[in-house]
Amino acid sequence: MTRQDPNDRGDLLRGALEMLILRTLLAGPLHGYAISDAILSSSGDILEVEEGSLYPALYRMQRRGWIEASWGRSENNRRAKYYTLSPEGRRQFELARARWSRFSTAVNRVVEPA
Amino acid sequence: MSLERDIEDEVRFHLEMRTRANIEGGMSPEEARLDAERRFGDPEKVRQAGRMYLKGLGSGSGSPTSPSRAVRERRTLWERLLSLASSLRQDFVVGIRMLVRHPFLTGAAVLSLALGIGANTANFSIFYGVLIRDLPFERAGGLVFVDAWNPERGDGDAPVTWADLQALRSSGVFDGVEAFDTRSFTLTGGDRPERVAGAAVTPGLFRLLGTNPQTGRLFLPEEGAEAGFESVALISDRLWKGRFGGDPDLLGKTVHINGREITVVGIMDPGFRFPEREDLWLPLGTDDPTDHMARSMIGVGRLREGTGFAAARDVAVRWSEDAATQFPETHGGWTLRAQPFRYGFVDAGARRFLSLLVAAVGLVLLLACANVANLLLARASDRRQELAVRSSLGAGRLRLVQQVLVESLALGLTGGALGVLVAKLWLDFFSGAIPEEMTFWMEVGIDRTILLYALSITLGTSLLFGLLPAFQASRANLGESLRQGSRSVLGGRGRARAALVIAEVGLAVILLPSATLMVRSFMALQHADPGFEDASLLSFRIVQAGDQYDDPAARGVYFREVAQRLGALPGAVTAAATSAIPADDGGSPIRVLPEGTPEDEALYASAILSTRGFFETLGVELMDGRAFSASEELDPDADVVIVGKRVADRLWPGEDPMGRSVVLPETGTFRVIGVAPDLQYEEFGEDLEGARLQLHFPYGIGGNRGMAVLLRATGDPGRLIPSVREELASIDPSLAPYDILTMPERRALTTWEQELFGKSFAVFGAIALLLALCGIYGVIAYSVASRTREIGIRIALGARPGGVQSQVVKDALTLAGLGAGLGLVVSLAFARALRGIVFGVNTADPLVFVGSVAAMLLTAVAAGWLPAHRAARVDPTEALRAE
Repeated sequence: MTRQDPNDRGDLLRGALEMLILRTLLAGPLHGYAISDAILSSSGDILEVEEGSLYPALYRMQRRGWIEASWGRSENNRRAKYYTLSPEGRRQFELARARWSRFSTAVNRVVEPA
Repeated sequence: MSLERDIEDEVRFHLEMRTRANIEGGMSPEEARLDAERRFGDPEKVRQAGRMYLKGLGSGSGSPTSPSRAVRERRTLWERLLSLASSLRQDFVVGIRMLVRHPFLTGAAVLSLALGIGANTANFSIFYGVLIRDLPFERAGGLVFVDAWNPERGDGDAPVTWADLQALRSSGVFDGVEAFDTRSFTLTGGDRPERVAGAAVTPGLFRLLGTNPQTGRLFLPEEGAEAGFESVALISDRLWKGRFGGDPDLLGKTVHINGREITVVGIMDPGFRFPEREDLWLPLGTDDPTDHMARSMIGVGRLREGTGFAAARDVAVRWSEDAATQFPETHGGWTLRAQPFRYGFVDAGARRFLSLLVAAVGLVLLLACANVANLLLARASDRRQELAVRSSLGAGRLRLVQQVLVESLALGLTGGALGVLVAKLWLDFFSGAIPEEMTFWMEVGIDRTILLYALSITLGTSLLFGLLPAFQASRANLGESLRQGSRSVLGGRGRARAALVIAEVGLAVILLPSATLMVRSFMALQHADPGFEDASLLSFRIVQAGDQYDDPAARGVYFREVAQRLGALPGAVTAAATSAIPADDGGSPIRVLPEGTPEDEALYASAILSTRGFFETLGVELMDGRAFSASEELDPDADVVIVGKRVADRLWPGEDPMGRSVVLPETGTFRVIGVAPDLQYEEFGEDLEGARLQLHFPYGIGGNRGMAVLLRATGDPGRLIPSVREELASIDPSLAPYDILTMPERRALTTWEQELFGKSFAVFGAIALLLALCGIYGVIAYSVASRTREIGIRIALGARPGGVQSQVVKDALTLAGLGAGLGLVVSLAFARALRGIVFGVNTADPLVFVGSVAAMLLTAVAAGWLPAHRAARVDPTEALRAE
């Protein structure tokens, strides 16, 4: 996976993972494992991802300032890194959702022709 | 806390959580950990991303301590393999699910593969069983089969002489040279006499082969000199258990063979028959130097360690040349032929045919491959989005290729498993279609080797048809997959399809003409005219064993009585004894020349002996003259001959042969009393030019002990068999008829190979045609259909629909033409290799080739025109929206 440019129409889907992460964090702070679990359980088999590939996306989004990280205690009292949505992240999610909706309409037209 | 530590902790936390979840899900701790690592993927990517994005962010100030290798160290090679296996298993499950979800596509692909793999497995089994499998002899690779041939006489597989054997023995090339002569024996002493196929073998032969008796002993060297008054025999396990009921005391007992008392000295191992499927062996050999020049045996040699077949061939040829000058009478024109033992039973024609069959079904499999590849490509287009999504979500390129290849493998293995079933069915049919027992060492069936072969071609084909789609998958890229609409047939993905069209047309054009030729050959053979009425004829053989027939006069009296009494049976019309059964035996070649011609101008012709009533029994009318008289019939000094039409034409072109004389240099002078039409004497399909030169002599001239009897019936000749047996028993109960067959049965028996090969090719040709038609149509139609959008745009921009259509058809024709051209080159060579195998057809018949090419081109035109026609009529706005 190479450089990301959200304005490139072709990378719309690449942004899908980021969008899913943002969507997941909308509910509140979570650690990486919980995020991956949530994405897996909500998207089904087709989004079977190497779980590790979640982290580069998280770091990238952290770099861009969409999310923030902090160490805390997990449900089983383990030290875990929690991610929280920033205001910028919230705004990005709205943008992404709009883009996605346009994009998926286009995909649908392709996949299920009239 | 350093950045690196941060990342390691996060990764470890994730892995621990997943492992814990897995354990709660029921996995063993070890399994759970491996699964967690596999699902996580390569932690190094996470570290890299961390270094790239997180440096200078948050608390950690990138002081680079060495990365903890906690995760990495634990992944030994073994664990990596386990993890690979686990991912493969997962892909396999996904693959199966995918196949189940597309039943039509899966069905079509699996069926193509099953037919292709099945046909290949079956034919390989035949090829392997006949040509490759080790012979059941000691160091069988060094065994040499020695026979003789004489191109001038048209004699291909003739016996050799004792002198030949001695010459080879002293050549220094062989560790040993022995010989056998197949014979048929009459066993008496039981309820009724029984004919048993056997052989006379030199005492050292079985020792040379490295076979031993299960009980008793082999022949002693001195027993070889017993020719004519043999006293010992070896028998097969089969004969022992059959005729002799497994008698434990048989060894040393006396049995009656050909009216002589003979002691059984050994019983061979179960399964052993020799040379083909014989059950009884007597010693062969001679001390009589006058016998040394008689062609009476087939040689079997064992190459000396370190010498090759080339040396054996050289020795054989050199001796043949010497012998031809030293003994022109017996050896002139003859060449010894030394070849691998197996080849003595599978001649060059059969070997070539088997190889061609294997090549042909290989091509069928390639066709099947091309079809499946096309189906997968078509589906791959529909899966572009899925693969692109997975790719964008982090699935590596290799991972996607692996996924697609594993799916192909699942498809291939299903097809392969069914293919083995198809092979089994085909082999059952094949064995059932063989009317006689196979040579004992030719085992055709499905064993471990054959299964291994089936598995390797399955893996090979899966890789072959899976590569294109896998390559497409490796390029799965969202941008491209969304942007890439339809392209021209020759562009992008179309290039793969173009290659498929060329390949399919080419393969079909290679296969179809040869298949057509084989089928036409088989049909020609079925309708070939033997020159006589064969439908209501019964035939069998009988050999006079026993001392009472040592007098030649007694022999003739016996055969005359047999002919008369059988002809008088109710339901019989007439009967005659003859030395050769037409369309089966060939007849024995003799030299003949018209009186007053120098001897070196002699022709070879077949000499046929018969009792009176022979032509009547065959339903043949003489063209001129008369048949043999009662006084000529048994007279050893009769000087009359009935010549075949072609002999008359060759010896006295344009003149009346009646009353003229022919000279047989070895025998005497004979007066022509009649002219007979030419009959088919060789087996059908073995038409030799010289074979139709026929000379008929009255029985007495030869006075043979062994003769065939022909009987014309009013209805089904098979129904006369019981009364024939009864009648023969009342004439002489010690003689048993054998090889009892109606002429139609005999015809089937002598043409079964042609029939079987014809049917094989018909089946493979039909499969190939079906695959090619579906494949070519499918590939072209699909790629045109996917150009609907482009066609719509062109028409919207003002192109004439007709013009667009003809462009599409032209594209399709170009590809098909290219394929046909390439295929035709190979096809001509392939068909030429059938020469000598096919009967009554021209292997370069242009019609056959033109027809096949035309069929393929027409398919291409139809495949291009129909969808293009549809596309051109679509409303352009519709077309623009469609994909």
